[in-house]
Amino acid sequence: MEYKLTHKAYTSALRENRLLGLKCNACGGYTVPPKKVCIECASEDLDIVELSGRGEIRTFTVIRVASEGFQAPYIVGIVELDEGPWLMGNIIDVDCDGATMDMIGRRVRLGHAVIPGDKYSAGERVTATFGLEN
Amino acid sequence: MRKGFEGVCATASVAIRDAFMWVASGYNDIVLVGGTERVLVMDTPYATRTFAMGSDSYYEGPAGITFPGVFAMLAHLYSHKYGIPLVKLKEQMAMVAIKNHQNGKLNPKAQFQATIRDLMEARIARATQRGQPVPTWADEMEFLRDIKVNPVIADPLQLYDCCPFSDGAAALVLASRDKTRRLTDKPVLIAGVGQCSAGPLHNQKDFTRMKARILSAKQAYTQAGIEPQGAGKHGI
Repeated sequence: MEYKLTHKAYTSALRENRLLGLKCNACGGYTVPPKKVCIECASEDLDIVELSGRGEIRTFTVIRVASEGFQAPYIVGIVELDEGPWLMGNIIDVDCDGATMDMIGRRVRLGHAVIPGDKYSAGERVTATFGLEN
Repeated sequence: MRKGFEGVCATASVAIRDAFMWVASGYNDIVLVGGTERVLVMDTPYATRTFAMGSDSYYEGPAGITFPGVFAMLAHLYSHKYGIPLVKLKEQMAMVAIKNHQNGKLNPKAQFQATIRDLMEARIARATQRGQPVPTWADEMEFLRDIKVNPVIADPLQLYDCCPFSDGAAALVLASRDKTRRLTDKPVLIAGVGQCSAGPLHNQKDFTRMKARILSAKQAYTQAGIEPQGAGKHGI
């Protein structure tokens, strides 16, 4: 039982704005973030690949009442990457009050943010961020 | 034998399904399912963080997603997918809040026993009594559109679109058919159950149709031996 792409390797790459994922040799699907098996067909025949980090916003929200440790307002969104998988992250450099439905479909590019640990997490965390492409 | 469950919003259903299996298998005649929630001792950020633990801690938590945030993203996705203008969708959701509060008023055990109109009129009365400018909401819909009384929690969801934090408890007795006859003359029968789960939201892709929900409903219908068309009422 060995994980091909570990959480550690995934986040280390994310810290360099590189998005690693797993490509399935059985069905051709992509699994991002990493899992033990392909999210499309459950095969374990997976290879580590670097994705483009580009995609389109599928949905978003402006968080106005935040969890402990986060400062509202900020935007959380889900992006469909060009390779197919969807990924959650923060949409950055957008005015929260100007974030309307026309954000959906906008092209974005991957970055990252380091989130300090809190009393419920095992230390520092890394999240994907997405900045709008012109 | 005692067992504990945590399944976020679905905790009670998960516990009841488990109790059902113990009774249906014949291992137990009677099972008591109890549930409690104690949230009002926490402040809002702490409670929001606690609920957010239902999300994936590695890949969703660090983005600062909250539970209202999950359903807010679903609302935007739904509006876009089905071409329902957000204003229209929000109006429909507001009608759900109005209906739910009306039902709450009829239930002596409800957390809130006031209609949205009651809440609106109470605010008007308070302003009048204090000699403050009297709000001029024409109806409940206009009251709910006012972000001063119904603040935005996670766009597009406002306070009354979201579940309240609650303190409360509930219990249910599950018993075999033989035992039930001695306990009540109005039993509720369980014909079928189903349960599924899924990984982080993004791995589900278009989550306006959640696979776990579809598969668990299929399990329940199959076990009950009926088709959806054959059931009088459906609730999820």
